[in-house]
Formats: sequence, structure tokens, C-alpha cells
Amino acid sequence: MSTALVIASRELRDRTRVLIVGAALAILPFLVALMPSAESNRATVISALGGGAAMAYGLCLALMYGVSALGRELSEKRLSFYFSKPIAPVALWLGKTGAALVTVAGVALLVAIPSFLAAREEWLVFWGREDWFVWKLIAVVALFLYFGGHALSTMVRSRSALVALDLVCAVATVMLALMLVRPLLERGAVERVFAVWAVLAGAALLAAAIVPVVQLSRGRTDVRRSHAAYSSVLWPVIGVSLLIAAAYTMWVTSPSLKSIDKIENLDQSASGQWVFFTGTDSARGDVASSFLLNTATGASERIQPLRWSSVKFSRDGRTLVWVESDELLPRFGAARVHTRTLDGSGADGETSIATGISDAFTVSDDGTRIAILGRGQLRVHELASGKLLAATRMNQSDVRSLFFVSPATVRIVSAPRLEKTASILELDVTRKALVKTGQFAVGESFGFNALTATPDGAALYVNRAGTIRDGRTGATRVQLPIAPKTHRASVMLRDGRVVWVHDGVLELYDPSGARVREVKLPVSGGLIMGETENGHVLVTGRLGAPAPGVRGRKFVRVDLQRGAVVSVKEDVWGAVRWWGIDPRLPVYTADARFSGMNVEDRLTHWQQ
Amino acid sequence: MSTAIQAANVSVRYGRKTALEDVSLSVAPGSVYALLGRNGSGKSSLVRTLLGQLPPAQGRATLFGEDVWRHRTRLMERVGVVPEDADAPPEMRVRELAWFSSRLYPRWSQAAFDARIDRFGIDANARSGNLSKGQKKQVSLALALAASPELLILDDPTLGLDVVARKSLFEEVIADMADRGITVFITTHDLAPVEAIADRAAILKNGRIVLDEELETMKSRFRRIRFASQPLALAQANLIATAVRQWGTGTEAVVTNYNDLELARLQEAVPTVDVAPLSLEEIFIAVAGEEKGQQS
Repeated sequence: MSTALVIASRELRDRTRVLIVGAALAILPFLVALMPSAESNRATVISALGGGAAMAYGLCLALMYGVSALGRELSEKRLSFYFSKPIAPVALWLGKTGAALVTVAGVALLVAIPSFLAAREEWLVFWGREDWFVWKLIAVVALFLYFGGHALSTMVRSRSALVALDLVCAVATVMLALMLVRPLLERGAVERVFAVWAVLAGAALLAAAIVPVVQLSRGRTDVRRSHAAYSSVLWPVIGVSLLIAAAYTMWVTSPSLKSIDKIENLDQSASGQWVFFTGTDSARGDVASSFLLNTATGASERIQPLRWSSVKFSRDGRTLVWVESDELLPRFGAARVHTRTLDGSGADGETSIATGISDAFTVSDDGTRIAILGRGQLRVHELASGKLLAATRMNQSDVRSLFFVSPATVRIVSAPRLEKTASILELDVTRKALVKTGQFAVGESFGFNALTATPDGAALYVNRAGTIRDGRTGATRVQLPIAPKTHRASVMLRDGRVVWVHDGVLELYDPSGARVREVKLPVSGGLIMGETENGHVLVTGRLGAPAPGVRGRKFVRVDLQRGAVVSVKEDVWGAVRWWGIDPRLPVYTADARFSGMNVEDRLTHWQQ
Repeated sequence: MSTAIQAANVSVRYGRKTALEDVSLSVAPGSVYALLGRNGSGKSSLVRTLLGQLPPAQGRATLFGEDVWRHRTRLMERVGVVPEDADAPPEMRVRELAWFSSRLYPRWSQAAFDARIDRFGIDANARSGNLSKGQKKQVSLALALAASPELLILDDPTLGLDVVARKSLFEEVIADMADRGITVFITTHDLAPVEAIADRAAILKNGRIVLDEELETMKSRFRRIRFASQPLALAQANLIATAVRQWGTGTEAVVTNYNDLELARLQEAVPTVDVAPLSLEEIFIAVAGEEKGQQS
């Protein structure tokens, strides 16, 4: 029999009391189920208590055995019993650990099995879900408790000054473990965060499982030397694990632009010279990386807005605005506005404007001001200085549209969810006054993207209702005889005309509601993505039902003046601004270069 | 293999405190070696070092020519140990201790263990924690001997033993071991019986070996001398005294380099000299006895 087995066998011989308590706990659920109050659901009571008691008792034992594995004998100076015999440190540790873990598992089974046999179905509902996930988790927690208990016991029982160093190392480890996943959280890489933490926890567990062998080899029977030996190996191992995790984090967060093989978010400036996009590299998991690309020069730089937060180009295409987290662990908390002047005419980088990552914001057309909506407030700041220009109370969830009709005026369309009236409000930034200028009735589908507006806000268009309204008062100007199926199937252009895409045609209406013309499209249905300064409309759509697995669409450019399709780009997803709070259709320059995703979700550029 | 135990310039420190300083000793195979010292002199630290439980800060300790810190596991198969304090898990029964040891030692003799436990009158089903101090020592001894060791290390083995058990330990057990050529290394405060069986003795004082030689040699050079004169006469006779007492015109001294020549010289100066041999206990007291600032 190997020495480890001899030691394990010796340890296991002295577990009678533990087994007696286990047997009592196994009976307990049946006794509780006999109570009158449990009469109607005895099986549930037995299964819940049986599984719960098994887990709780198993975890308590794991902690207890961990704390006393070596620590008790070390502090009572009885470890010499083993060291005066031909017992190798590894055998001693393996024997004691093996016996402890076998006992924990065995006793948990002893407590759990009777209730399982008595109420099998309920038991499986309670504890057997998702491939016994709870039990796997409990097993891992038990390991942590055992090895963690041993670590704590080793440190505390030594009563040496090294405990202070351990505490510093433990705090530093936790802080570093949090800090090194910060870049991942900023990039929304929740899977990677858990993966890194799991690897770190695994490394710590492995270290805690192996280091006691070194502890016994170097420290032997002396409690303080033992502690010193333990800590002097444990912390460097954890430190190396942290370094490896940090290196991995650096690697996954530093993909090159070319390695991005799946674009998930993309926007571009009016000329198409500047493209912001977020994408993932399949080799780097769910880590999203964002780039600002100058398509004219090919130069790119990495920027890191919080994932799923907005990034906005000003309508003049000269300023890019985004938010980054201010917190150690990014959550729905503090964030800060960052800006980049694309023509190099202004200050770049972090502003003094604080925000939350769930806040909505919009930028004035000239890129000098920002309106932030969130936390019960609407605020307008000057971007360059961060100065607060105006603020008013406003419920974010009520607001459907928010945009600058001029740098001094913010137009808001608010429609509380249960009310059937939308209010049109104006925040006068100069006078710091909020005024309700009008209202109109809305239907149930009045959500985001329900409206489009002319750039000056003079006219509003309720997309799916086909109603052209006065931009300030909300009064109906024209009711078009149309019924678009989606919000983006019909929009208002900057000159007040309305286009509607349906069933393979594009219909054009003038501001008076007169149907101007119809253009046949090479797509059966579609979404209107924007317009160009020279009177073209950009439509994206498919011809017929999409083929399985094929994401490509046609990107169609329609000359409204001539009533003809100018060009068609096949198999691309266009530059999409689906969920902007600014209701105005993007306007691109006549010679704009477009960026989007091809059928493989990779970045592609084209001109049409 | 020329030595069973060897310590070469061993120093042991606990933080800033020095427990052993530059200790060197050598124990020949088959001999009985007694390490003597007062409480706190460093005996247990030296024993732990020799058992590979404590690393020397300097120097090297070997058993059978092998570094004990590095090869402890293998070497312990050849060593029987009776520790100063009982270290067996208190919940273990005596027979379980024997079962446990039997799986570890290749030359384990269950019959020898049973016979000795029987002779000690100890219940094999008794838990270690319920035994008296003396019984624990006896169980340790029985375990150590049943392992058929080549080297027996006894750290204050008489602590807690009654007079009969002490006598039995020295006269039967250790003497028997010695007769069978097993090396015995013993630390004890029980000096009288050791004197009868030890081949060599060393005295450890404040972490240093102050005396280490064959017992016969040691005893032949230590003498108590009384004479009616001043202590100066000792120096005139080239006698080195380790403890000197004066009363009136008389002197009593323990000399460490006694021989007939020096005695003759002393007798030239002082006609009446009373010379008495010293027991090991008296030598120990003279060498390791009270000092300024030291309490017994």
C-alpha cells in the first residue's frame, strides 16, 4: 500500500462521528416531512431538505478539514509524528487531502441519497437541472473551501508578521484580478471575463493544492517556516498567473484592424472618409474592439467606447463623440464623454463631462454641443470646455426623439408609455428654459425610430402612420395614404418629401402629400438608410426571402429626380444607424464612400 | 559508512534567535551517545535537525553519511525515534499506531511491539490521548523499537516514566540495543543511568558544544580537589579549574585536566590534597552549571 493510501486510510478510520451526523441529517428531511404543515408537499420538502443538507454539510466539512488538514497538527507541534517516519511530504498531503475529499463526497452522498430515492422526481427538479450544474458548482466551492481553509489556517496559526504580507498580497491579487478584466468589461466581453477569472481561480486552486507539498518539504514541523514556505511559493505562483492573465487580456484586447472578422456596429461620417466600427476577432472570443478608420489614408486608431453605448458623428462630419467608463469595474455607472475632432481643428480626448453608460446623448450638427439624457435629467454641455449650459428634469424612458435643431435649441418628443399623446418640447439653451410647444396623438407602436424630421425640425413625420406634422406644434399637415410595415420603410427627407419602400417599388411624395413618382427597385422590400446631398436615396433590402445563412443585402442608390436606380451594390450590409435618438435621416455627400459589412461580416468599402 | 550521525558546524536560528551555533559532533555506529544540556540549551533543536525536521542555517547534518534534510524520507526507515513530547494523534488507538507504523517500516516486527506493549501493561485499544505521559513514552519506545532501527534517537525518553520504567529503559532496552550494535543517541536529564551505558557524551550549553568526548576519558580528567591553600596553587600546578570555591584558607575545585603529574606538582606546593573522582552528573553541573544570569 503506498504511503499516501496508508495516511488516507488512517484518516478515514476516524470519521465515525462525521458519519453519525451525516446519517442524522439524512433522516432529518423525513422527520420534517411528517409535520402537519408539510403534508401537502412532502416529496418537495424531502427533496429540498435532503439536497440542501447534503450540500451544506459537505461544504462545512470541506472547510473544517481544510482548516485542520495540517494547521492543527502544526500549531500543536504534532506534525513530527509523520516527519519522524519514512513519509514523504507529497504522500502526507495527498493522503490527508484524499481522505478529506473522499469523506466530504461520501458524506454528501450519504445525506443526499435517501431523499433522492424517496422523492426522485422532485429531487431532480430541485437539484438535477442543467446537467447537475449545482452539484458541480458545489464541488468546486468545496475544493475552494478546503484549500482556502488550509491556506488561511496556515497563515493565521503561524501568528507571524508574514500574515500582514499575506493580507497585502491577497488584497493586491483581488485588485489586480478586477483591474485586469476592466478592458474586457469595457469591451463587453463577459465570456472572456469569466474565462479569465475561471483560469485565475483554477490557477489559484491548483497552486493551493500543490503548494502544501512545498510547504511540507521546506517548512516541515515548524509552523512559521511552514507558513513562510507556503506564502513564498503561493504568491509568486498567483503573481505569475496574474501576469499570464494580463498578457492574455492584452492580447485579446489588441486585435489588428485586419483580424476583425465580424463587424457588429458601424457608422460613418457624412463624406464616408471617417468610419467608426466595432467588431470581434473570432480567435479572441467575445471581445469587441473599436476602430476609427480614415478611409482616405487607410490610417486607423483604436478607440474604446463602452460596448453597446452610442458613438456619434456630428452631422457636419467633423466631430466624433463617445463615452468611456470611469469605473474600475465598468457597469451601468459612471462614464465620461470623449471627443475627437476629425479635421484636427479642436481639442481631443477625455472631456470633463460625466455621464452614465445607459444615458442617451446627441450632438449638435456643428459638433460643439452635446445633449445628455439620463438619470432624470436632460443636460446640455459645451463639448470643448465641458461647461454645463442648461439642464432640466426629464424622464429618459419617456423620450422618443432628441435632437439639436440649432446649437441653441434642443427639440424633444416625449411620449410616456401608457399615454396616447406625444408632447413636443423645446429646451432653449440660452434662456435655460424648457417649453412645451405642441402635442399629437400616437398609437401603440410609437417607439424609437417612430419619427423622422427635417434637419431644422420644421416638420415631423410619423413613419408608420404616414403623417406629416408641424415640427413644433405637432399639428397634422398631411396624412399620406400609405401603411408602411416598419419604421424605416418610410421616412421624411431633409426637404420634407417622403419616400416609402414596399413590394419592390419606391414611392415619392411631396410635402403636400402628392404622389410624385414610383421607382421600381431590385429589392422586394427594404429599409431607407439615408440620402445624399445630390438628391439620391439609399435603400437596403433583399429580393425575396433570405437564403439560409446569407446575410447579404442589396444596397441600392436611387436618383429621385430621374426616378431611376443609379447603382446596386450586392451582398452588403449598409452603414446602419438603427437606434439613434436623433430622428433625422443621415445625409451623405454626393461622392460619399460607403462602408459596411459583406456577407462574411467583414468590413468593406464601396462607392456607388 | 564511518559515522551513524554527524553534525558539521551546524547552526540553527529561529528568526533572530540562535538556537545552535557551530555545533559539530560525530556518533560512531554501534555506540551510545549521550547529549546533555540544561533546559533551553538547544538539545531539541539539535535532535530535530538530526531528524531532518529543521534545516540548519549553516552546516550539515548527516545520518549514515547522507544529508538528512535532503534524504529524510529514506533515512527514517532506518531510524527509530522517541520524541520528547508525545506527538501521536490523540484519537489513534495504540493498535492503530502499530498498524500505521507497520505499513511504513520495511523491517517492522509486530511481535516485538505486542510483546513490549504487553510488558508495559498498556491496553492496545486505548486511545493515545487517554494514556499517561509515561505510557505515551512507552508506546513511542515500543513503536521505535518494533521498526528494527539501525539508529535509535531518544529525546528525553525518561520524562514522565516512573522509577521502574526508567531502570528498565536503561538497563534492558538501551543496553540491549547497544549489545545488538544499534546506535543510540539519547538526550536526557537522567545522568546516573546514562553514565553506565554511554560510550560518549557531549554537553551542550547555550547552543554550543562545550564538551564532547569518550565518557571514560572525560571521567579520567575531571576531578574534585580539596586542599588547604589558596587557588593560586592550581595555576602553579598547571591544573585548569572549571569551578572553584574558597572557604577560609581552603580551596575546592573541579579540575578538567587531572593527571598524576599535575597532582604531584600540586602536592609539592600543598602537602595535603584530597582528590575525588566525579560522576557524570557532577561533571555536567561543573560544566553546564549555574552562571551569572542563569537560573537552574
